[in-house]
Amino acid sequence: MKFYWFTWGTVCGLENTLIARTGYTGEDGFEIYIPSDEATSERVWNEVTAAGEEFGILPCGLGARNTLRLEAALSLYGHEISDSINVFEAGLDRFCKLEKGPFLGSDALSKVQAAGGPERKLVGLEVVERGIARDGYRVMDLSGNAIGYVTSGSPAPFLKKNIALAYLPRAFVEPGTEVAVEIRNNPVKAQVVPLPFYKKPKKTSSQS
Amino acid sequence: MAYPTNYRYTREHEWIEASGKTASIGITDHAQDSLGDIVFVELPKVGDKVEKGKVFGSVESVKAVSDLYSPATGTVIAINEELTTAPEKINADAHATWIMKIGLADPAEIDSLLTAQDYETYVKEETGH
Repeated sequence: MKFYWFTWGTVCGLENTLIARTGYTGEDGFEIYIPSDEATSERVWNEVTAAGEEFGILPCGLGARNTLRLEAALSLYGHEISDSINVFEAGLDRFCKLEKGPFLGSDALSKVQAAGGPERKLVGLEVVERGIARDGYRVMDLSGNAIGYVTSGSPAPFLKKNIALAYLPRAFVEPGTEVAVEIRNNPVKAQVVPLPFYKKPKKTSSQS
Repeated sequence: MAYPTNYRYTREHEWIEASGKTASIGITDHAQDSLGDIVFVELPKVGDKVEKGKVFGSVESVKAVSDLYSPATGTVIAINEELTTAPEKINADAHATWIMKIGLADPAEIDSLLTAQDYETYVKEETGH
């Protein structure tokens, strides 16, 4: 199965189970969709955990998962994407083919394109000075003018950096641009960096 | 972990160890355990006035920011600079890791805070076990 594809199969005796080669961590992985009743959930969890024991399988909590998806710059609804953010701003153009329209919203999106693209874009920030940028914090230019906001921000334990995703005007999206994140009333310097923050190394062995 | 009986405690999970007119202040073992790995400590500045029950700094874990509340009113006389590069010291031994030292405006103010026994009871009630 190719990455980002899905199929139906049998998992722990459950037939017609949706299996997707996706994940929300930036790593290779699978998602399986099973009935949500407690007995089934518990059985599948225990069987998967037991089967993975020889590979050193470990459970992972939501907090850890969020740092991984942020390092991989994967969008979270209500943060990087919402009904007031368009697909071009979010950098998700590849999922939206205007030429396949018309569809709901395609007129509005065409106008954005005709106007030369979105006014603001999602960028990656790395906090340069001491401080952790968090969701909702304001981003300012070096003169102290508010120019945007952080959609997701966290220390990234793997990268050992304090990183964030933010919407900034087009003039500020070039990697290397210096800005400041307002952390409890103090401007803390940050720099625009390319996305994703982390990309898993290409496998040398063949993928099956 | 045992709560030192010579310390006093707040419902916001700080401890204070008074010695005459000065006192050391930190967060409790229960607080560090609830926060998880501490990755950042925002300290006050020496000379800052702090007020009982008011915010004097913050601690951050990967997941969240938590404000620090001063257990007493006074003036900051020392800050634990080591925490700017090694915030995990709080996780390792919360009761031995002070965050700031203050000159107390009124040493008697401490008497109204929770004793170790009061605090342990409070934590049990709060967490339900």
